Amino acid sequence: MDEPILRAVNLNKAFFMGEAIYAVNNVSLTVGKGEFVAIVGPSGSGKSTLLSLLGGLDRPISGDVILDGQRYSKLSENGLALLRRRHLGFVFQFFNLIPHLSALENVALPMRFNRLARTAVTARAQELLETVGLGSRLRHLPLQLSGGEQQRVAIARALANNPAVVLADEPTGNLDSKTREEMASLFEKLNREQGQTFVVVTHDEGLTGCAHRVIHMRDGQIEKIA
Amino acid sequence: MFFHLGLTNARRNLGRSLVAVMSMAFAALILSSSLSLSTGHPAGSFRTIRMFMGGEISVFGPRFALSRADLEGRGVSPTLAYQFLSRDARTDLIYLEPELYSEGYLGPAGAGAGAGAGVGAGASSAAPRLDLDALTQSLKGIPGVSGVHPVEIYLATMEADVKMPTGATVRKTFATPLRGRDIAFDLRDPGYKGFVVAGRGLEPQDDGALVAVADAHRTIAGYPDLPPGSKVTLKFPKVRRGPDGAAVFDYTNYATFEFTVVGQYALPTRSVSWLAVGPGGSEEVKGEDLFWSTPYLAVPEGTLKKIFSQLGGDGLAFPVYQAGISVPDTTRLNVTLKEVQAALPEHTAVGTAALLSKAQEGALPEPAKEVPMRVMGDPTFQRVTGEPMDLGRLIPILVYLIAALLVAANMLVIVARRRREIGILKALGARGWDVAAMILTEVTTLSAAGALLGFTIVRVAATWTMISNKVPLGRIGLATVADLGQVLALTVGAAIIFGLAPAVAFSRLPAMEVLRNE
Repeated sequence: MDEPILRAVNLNKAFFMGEAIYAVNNVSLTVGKGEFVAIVGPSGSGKSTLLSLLGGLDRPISGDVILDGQRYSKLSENGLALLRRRHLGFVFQFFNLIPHLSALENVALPMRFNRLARTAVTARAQELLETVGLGSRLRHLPLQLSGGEQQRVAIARALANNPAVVLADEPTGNLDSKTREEMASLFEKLNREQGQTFVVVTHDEGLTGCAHRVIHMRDGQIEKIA
Repeated sequence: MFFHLGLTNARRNLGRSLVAVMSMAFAALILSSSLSLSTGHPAGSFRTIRMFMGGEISVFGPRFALSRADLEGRGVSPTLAYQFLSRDARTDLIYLEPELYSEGYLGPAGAGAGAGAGVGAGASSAAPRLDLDALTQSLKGIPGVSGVHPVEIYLATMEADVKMPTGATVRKTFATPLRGRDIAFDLRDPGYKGFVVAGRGLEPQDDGALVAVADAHRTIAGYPDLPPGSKVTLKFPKVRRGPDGAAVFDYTNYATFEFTVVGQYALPTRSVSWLAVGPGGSEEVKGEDLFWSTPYLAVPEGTLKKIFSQLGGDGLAFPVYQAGISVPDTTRLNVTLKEVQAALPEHTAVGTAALLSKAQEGALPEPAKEVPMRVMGDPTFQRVTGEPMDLGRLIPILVYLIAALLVAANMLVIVARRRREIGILKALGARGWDVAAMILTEVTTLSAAGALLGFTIVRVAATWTMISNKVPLGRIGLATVADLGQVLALTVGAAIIFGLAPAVAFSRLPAMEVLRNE
């Protein structure tokens, strides 16, 4: 494994419904820089919860996540927000684009958060959309794009700030088979050509086929790593 | 960035926020109306007293004092003493110059309080006179002032036969003050012309002629009736030069002039309504319009001065104790009043509303035919003629609170629909206060849009009124900017205070909501 960029140390996350139900149970994991890691498992196995903990979207009840030397447990909510802004990219199953912003504006959004110059932001957003094959759809609103195109916009947005890690939660879960294949190729290409680190929760064999490691989860625990 | 997003959202949600925007527009409309009159009153208010006093502000002489307390800090010379004016009926100031009537002035020490009583009764040299030239000069440059009108009163007497309750007829002498009217001034609104109820008012060609207009209600207070067309013979005191070189009326030497009454005026003061109980216990709402009852005769200014000159006043200044200052734009009367007072630090300047209030405290002669005594002094039964409705500052503030609550509720609903969007923003790295700033920008923008709408509606009307009142465009512009500033400040303040609740609530929304909802 290359130099580690993301580490989860003894992560626990429980939901209390009468009794504690552990969605993530004592999970430790290390992701190397430039690595493509896929997390698979049946529904309810804790994949998405683990991903949200890795992304700092949720807090564990114990354990810690360390991204490029920064311990999440030491960060406030605002600190976590800044960490997500600068070092992480997210791709969601339902794309989660801002509906009233164009493709270009959606991609530009994380860069605008970082107060980058407008012209540089526009140029970078345009470049990213061209990379994901949407150079001709810059001004389209999300509703004017197909599911696959929307997910490409979401990927471009995730890459906007050159994140250390892109976390993707079922990125092909809402797409048809042909688009799934295209998406898998795109992830693979970005990982191979740009060295982008990916941690992807998926059921898609096309995506797991691209991964350097596949982590199998069951009942909140890592069952095996292949 | 988040401000930009807030602005975009406000534009996008304008259609969904119409009720909130309109409520804010309504609030701004009420506040703008209140502001446009907060320093004055509408043009039609206090017409009677403004007309009678010759302007919207009354200025009294340099040594006039509203009260003893008023003298404190003025550095009064020990050679002067404060003297109360008595209620001596011979005083020509008694009825219509209530400030002088109920208060006093500084006169030579040792002259005695009684000496001050009769301004028109031989002691006028003790009363503080106005130097009109100096006064006019001092008021030059005050933007709201359009003219200075001296209150010129010549106290004459008339004799008339009065029928006594016993049936006998007795010849009596009545004090009859003549008030010189600037006819050109009286042709404006509110001028005498608008109060004429019989015959005609004074016309420019009357200047210098022996014509007069009498009070139609003078008989209520016991003065002889003077219907249009009647002749009245008046005895005028002659004029001599006093020890200080000023004109003094000599009430021991008289000259007579015969005047023709050409019309009658009526001076409405207030409407009184009350519940009267009939003999059978039946209740009936009754009402009566009250009028001042004055012995005054309005005569052309030129006529008064001509008589003054003929009776020995040639080369002397007509003694004037009071002047009316014309302020055409009454919407900002209090501002102009402060400027006038600042320009005349030794004088006393009083606005119409305060003057009327003082006059009523001093029990102006306002005889009633039917109104019961218990009702006369009770303000709950009465409405002063021409008094502007005083909504105070409370109503605009209450309306603002309601509007701001509506805006906040509207925002809660709108933002609640956008939980997902806020979750996405937080997932992408927006901090709590970034989201709060975005929502507050949206609330403020929607509120300001409403406020601008309401302000514009009222301001167009207010601007038209001011242009009609010949207010200089520069002043209109300044007033508009100042009022707009106040409206926007209150709007933005209310929007921020009431927008904080939705802003804080949604800024705390965890980013995890997005993933969990999937």
